[in-house]
Amino acid sequence: MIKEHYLNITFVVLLLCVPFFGLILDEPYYITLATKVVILAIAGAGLNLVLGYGGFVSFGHAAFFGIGGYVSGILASHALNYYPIIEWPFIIEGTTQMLIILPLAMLASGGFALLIGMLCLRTSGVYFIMITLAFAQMVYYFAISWPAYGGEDGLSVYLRNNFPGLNTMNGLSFFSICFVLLIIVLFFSSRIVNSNFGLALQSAKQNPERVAAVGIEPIKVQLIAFVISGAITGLAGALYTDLNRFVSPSVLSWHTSGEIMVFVILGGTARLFGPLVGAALFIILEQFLGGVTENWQFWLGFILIIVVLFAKGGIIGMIAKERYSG
Amino acid sequence: MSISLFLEQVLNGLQFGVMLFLMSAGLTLVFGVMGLINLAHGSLYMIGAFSAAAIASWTGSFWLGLVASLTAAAIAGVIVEIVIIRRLYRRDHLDQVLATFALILLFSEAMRWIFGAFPLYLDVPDILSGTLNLPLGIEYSKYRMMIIVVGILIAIGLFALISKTRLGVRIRAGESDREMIAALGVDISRLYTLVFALGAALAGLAGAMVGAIQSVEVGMGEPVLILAFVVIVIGGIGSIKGALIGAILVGLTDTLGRFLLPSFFKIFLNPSSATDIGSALASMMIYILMAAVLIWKPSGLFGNNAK
Amino acid sequence: MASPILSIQKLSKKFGAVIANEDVSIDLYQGEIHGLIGPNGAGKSTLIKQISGEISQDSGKIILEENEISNHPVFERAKMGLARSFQVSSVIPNFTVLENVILAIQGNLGQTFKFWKPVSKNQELINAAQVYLDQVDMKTRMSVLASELSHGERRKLEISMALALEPKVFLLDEPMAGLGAAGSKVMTKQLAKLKNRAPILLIEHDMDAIFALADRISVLVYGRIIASGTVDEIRSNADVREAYLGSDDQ
Repeated sequence: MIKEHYLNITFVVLLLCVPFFGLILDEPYYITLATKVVILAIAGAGLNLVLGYGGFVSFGHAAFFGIGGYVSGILASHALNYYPIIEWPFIIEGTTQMLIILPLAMLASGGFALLIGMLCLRTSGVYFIMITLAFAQMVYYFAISWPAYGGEDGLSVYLRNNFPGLNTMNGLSFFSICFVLLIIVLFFSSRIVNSNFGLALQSAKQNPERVAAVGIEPIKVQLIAFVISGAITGLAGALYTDLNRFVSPSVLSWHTSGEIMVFVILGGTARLFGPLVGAALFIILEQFLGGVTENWQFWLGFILIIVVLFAKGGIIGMIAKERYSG
Repeated sequence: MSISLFLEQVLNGLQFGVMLFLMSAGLTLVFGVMGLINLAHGSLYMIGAFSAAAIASWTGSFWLGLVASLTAAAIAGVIVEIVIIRRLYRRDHLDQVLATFALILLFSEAMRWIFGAFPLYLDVPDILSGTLNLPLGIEYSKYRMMIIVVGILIAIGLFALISKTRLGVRIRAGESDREMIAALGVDISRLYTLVFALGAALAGLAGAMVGAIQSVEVGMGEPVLILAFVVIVIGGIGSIKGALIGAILVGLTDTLGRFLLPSFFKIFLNPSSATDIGSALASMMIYILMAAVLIWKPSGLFGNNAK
Repeated sequence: MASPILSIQKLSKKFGAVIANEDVSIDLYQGEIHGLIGPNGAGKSTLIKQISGEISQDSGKIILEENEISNHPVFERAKMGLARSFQVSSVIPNFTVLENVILAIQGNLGQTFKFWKPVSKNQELINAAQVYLDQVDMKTRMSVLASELSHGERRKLEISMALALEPKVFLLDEPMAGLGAAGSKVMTKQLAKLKNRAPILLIEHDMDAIFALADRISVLVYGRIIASGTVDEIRSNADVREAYLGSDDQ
């Protein structure tokens, strides 16, 4: 059994090898792939906060991913088309500055999380799962039927957003931005998880009655975790739109929510680097299995069932030491 | 806008509602009795539709297709219950969600592999094609009327089953205290398999009936599944009555919303904005309804806080 | 006479047609242990749940040190000084003994919404927690996971967490339950020390402990208080004798 810390470093090194080889072999595709893994890992890290550490099963995180994605897409497309977003009561124009878009995306998705969190967290268990799913569907159908941003066909953004000092159209530069953001997200996540707040959150997962009995309001803790989680996943969504220079309602579908959950589970819930491992595994499966058969998702489903039934702790759970030994 | 057009939409709402009831009844029973959340229910709907379409085109008979849908869905239900679902009863909800999500992937890809990527078609049988002449000048599709009638009959049948038969007693007992009925000597595994298969058959039937109005394709079950969740949340987990009322509410709200909202906005907006805003709002109506019900009654209209 | 720290006034609760509590009134004064006894099914656990806030009463008031807490949620009552222990030990299983107590301290001090500093590096919290653990002789077990504690140790951990709340009132629900003779002796000594911190409303089945510890006792039968007084008064009360020894549901 290896200490989790060393395992995490190994994973990061392995990850960084991919774009490195992409550079050497002059295969930009690998760099794009690695960027995709990183972005999905950020999305998973957001979900892990509430799913792994908080212990509540949100099946609606695609809503946050998609809202972040659309904020990015809408702001950028307005800027590129020189068309203000609204003209009354005052003019708001679009922007292609990442440093503005990303915080706004996080604000929007975090805000939505606050709104639905206040309602969803009054329920628990199965109701919570179904309600988060339902709200995400609501956003999905709204995006399909709102014609201004492409509806079902989606919205294209023909340039990458701007980041001061870097050429974001360059794959490696864009990868670096995403990678740094992932490390920042994981760092903040670890601080949150190990802080007073994290203690309360994880305690509420195990015994909410006891948490209330010591003077802490469990719902408030969970709501804040939900908002932070939504914001992080929204950040990932914005980056995803930027990577693909395209966003469509499919990022809001329940299927996406399910996939994000799959990354978290495959890697190991409540493990800091779990989402990274899970996202990497998922992309690897998609690439290799997908190259072999069109129906690769069949095998994904198969692996998932095996993991759920027999390997609960995910990949990291299988090879890392327990959090407390002895 | 005429009264007959409005009433026609009401009937459509009822038809939609009744179909949702068939889906929700199975889901809520499985949840109420076994405490299991089953995402693969939509796949059973899809299996029913595909079986009906395949058998109907092979034999030329719509009715044989319907029978096939019930059988195939029930059998699929039994197999899935015995092989996988059984292991999930004692697990937490996250495990159930993931495992049944995996089942969706399995079933969808399997269907794609067997039937290919293109939709199948199921034809409405001749007897039911054409329209009925109803009072107030309404001409309503015979087929859709049949769906409403079948749905109501099944609802009555289910209520009778639950309240008047031994199986029904066991189901109701199982919903209130799972450990107790095992202690009383009821064969739990058989009961669970039966309940699961019953839910599956209802879902398959719904899929088959809808298959004739819309196309039969992979992934058709999931949107309906999610609507069924909304129905159950509104109606309350474990309650058949809640499922029926919730389903009718959702069916009517959705259908009438899509019909009325754009027209409503046309009163003070230009036609194209009215259609845009109207349909966007209409697509969110049932979720707004769900949110409203939850604010008022967090366990649904007839729920009892079951987890 | 000084006013009571905790005043429960005419609390009533019905479940359908079943009367769980009717007009229950108890006053708890500084420096005392007030025992609450009663046969099984008397309505003790319903009463405790109403006092702690888990369920809401149909009528009646609960007043904690001049403040009415009748409609306050559980966590708020805890913050205002109501510390409770559970009949079935309720701790956080996957955290250590130390972390459990730290949770209570941060709850009491309102320091939950701090997101940066790791708990494990928070020397202030750790030191404070160790002090509370010392008071129940659990300091040596501070790095053990709560799930790995013995039954008696879990009881002590709960007391420690209650202490960490710096409460105005202790609400203890059958703390002796499941402890053997030796364990009960230790717990009895612990509770005797406790009353100097804050008054205790002690619900118990263990008669020896009650008679040894309580300053006053109230007896709950079929949802009503049938007698209330000193240990001697209760011991010699005919109604109480009948309720415990004479009735057929023993």
